[in-house]
Amino acid sequence: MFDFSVLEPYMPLLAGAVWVTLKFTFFSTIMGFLGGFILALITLSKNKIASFFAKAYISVFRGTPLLVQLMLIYFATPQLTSYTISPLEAGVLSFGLNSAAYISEALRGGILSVDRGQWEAAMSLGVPPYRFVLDVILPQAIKNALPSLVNESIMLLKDSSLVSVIGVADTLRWADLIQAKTFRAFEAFVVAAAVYYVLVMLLNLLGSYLEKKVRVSD
Amino acid sequence: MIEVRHLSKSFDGIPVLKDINLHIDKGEVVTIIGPSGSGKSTLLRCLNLLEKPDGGSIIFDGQDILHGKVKIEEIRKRACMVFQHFNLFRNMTVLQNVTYAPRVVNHLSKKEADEKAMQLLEKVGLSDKAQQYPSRLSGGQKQRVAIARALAMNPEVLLLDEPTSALDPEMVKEVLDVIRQLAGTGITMVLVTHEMGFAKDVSDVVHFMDGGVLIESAPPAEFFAQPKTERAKKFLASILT
Repeated sequence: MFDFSVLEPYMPLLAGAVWVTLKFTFFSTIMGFLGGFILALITLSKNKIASFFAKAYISVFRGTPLLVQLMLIYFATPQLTSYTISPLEAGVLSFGLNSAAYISEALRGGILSVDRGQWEAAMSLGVPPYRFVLDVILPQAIKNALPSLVNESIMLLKDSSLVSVIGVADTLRWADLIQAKTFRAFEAFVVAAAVYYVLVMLLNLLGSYLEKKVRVSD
Repeated sequence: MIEVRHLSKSFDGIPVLKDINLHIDKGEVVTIIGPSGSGKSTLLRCLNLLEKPDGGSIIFDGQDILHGKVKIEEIRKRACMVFQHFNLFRNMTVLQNVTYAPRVVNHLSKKEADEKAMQLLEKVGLSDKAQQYPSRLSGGQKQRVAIARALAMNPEVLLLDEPTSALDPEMVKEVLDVIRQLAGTGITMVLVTHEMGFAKDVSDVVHFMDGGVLIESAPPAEFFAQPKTERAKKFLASILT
């Protein structure tokens, strides 16, 4: 009934496909974290106008489907700017912008749960805010928010499969290609699912390692 | 050293400081006492601008720090605060807590900052805890580290906001001993406290506040023996019985 040997000729392609998945996840995570950090600081700042725009941004990106955002960025960018955006750029851009919205909320919660006294102590020693936010507040905020942040990168990894719709040869696309050629859908997709599962478990491991590391000060 | 003139501050329309005038000389040890909610901590926090007063002026070493262009960090590093709840940086070891501001603000090298910090930790009796995280220390130890952290900046003024109020009774003494030691070194200290015996012992001047008003200022011997105002008499009677 099952015949996994049909996959054999396609196995060399799998490594490349997994690599593409990882690449998307990696760059989007970086972008999501940077954007999320900046958004979190803006929403917490006293600047009402900036804070309003940041909140509006978060609302829009959390309130619309990621797939819609991806297609909008990929297909509408050439129409609006005459710049031919590559699938990698479109993918990283939409996933990064999208996850920035979620990460900013996780970080905002993390920052708010840092004791007010930590800010005051740093201020009272004459440390300028940009320094102690990075050295004192952010490490504690990340620690508080770590479970949600790990969760967010797991979401990103799985959501990266959406790039297959704009023709990127990622893990899901690899399976799709096989089933089109061999008509063996089960074998192809079950292997793709297994690959995602293994990658997610690796991220989980990384998460627990980081968790242990940030808990040394407890 | 510090001259406070007509200082006022309110929170959400409720006045907590009303027309405060006081003068602190260089090297003086000053205690501020009074019932809870009398505004003494707020006054202390105004001195290094953790609270922004609504009116009046604070002249720090000849410079008006509320008006004109004053870099807030410049004032704070000269008047460091020790808090009721210690507020040690939780993500840093004891040594890192003490060296952080000197390295970032005063640009000391790691070696210089470490040496200085170890000296200070030695002084407060905690050099063996240098590599520990604050979570492993007792309240009294945390507060002694916090004092070392403030001293590491070589401040001209040390502000202490109820430094023993959050401590278990058996730890109060170790912190007071450290403060007592400092009182003889020529550093200017402003101390908000509920430890009357200690205030009597170490201070040059006692300021008594109630309801946001500075009611009476006098040397401790005079204040505790013969308070001039009715309110001070009442307050002393209530805490001494």
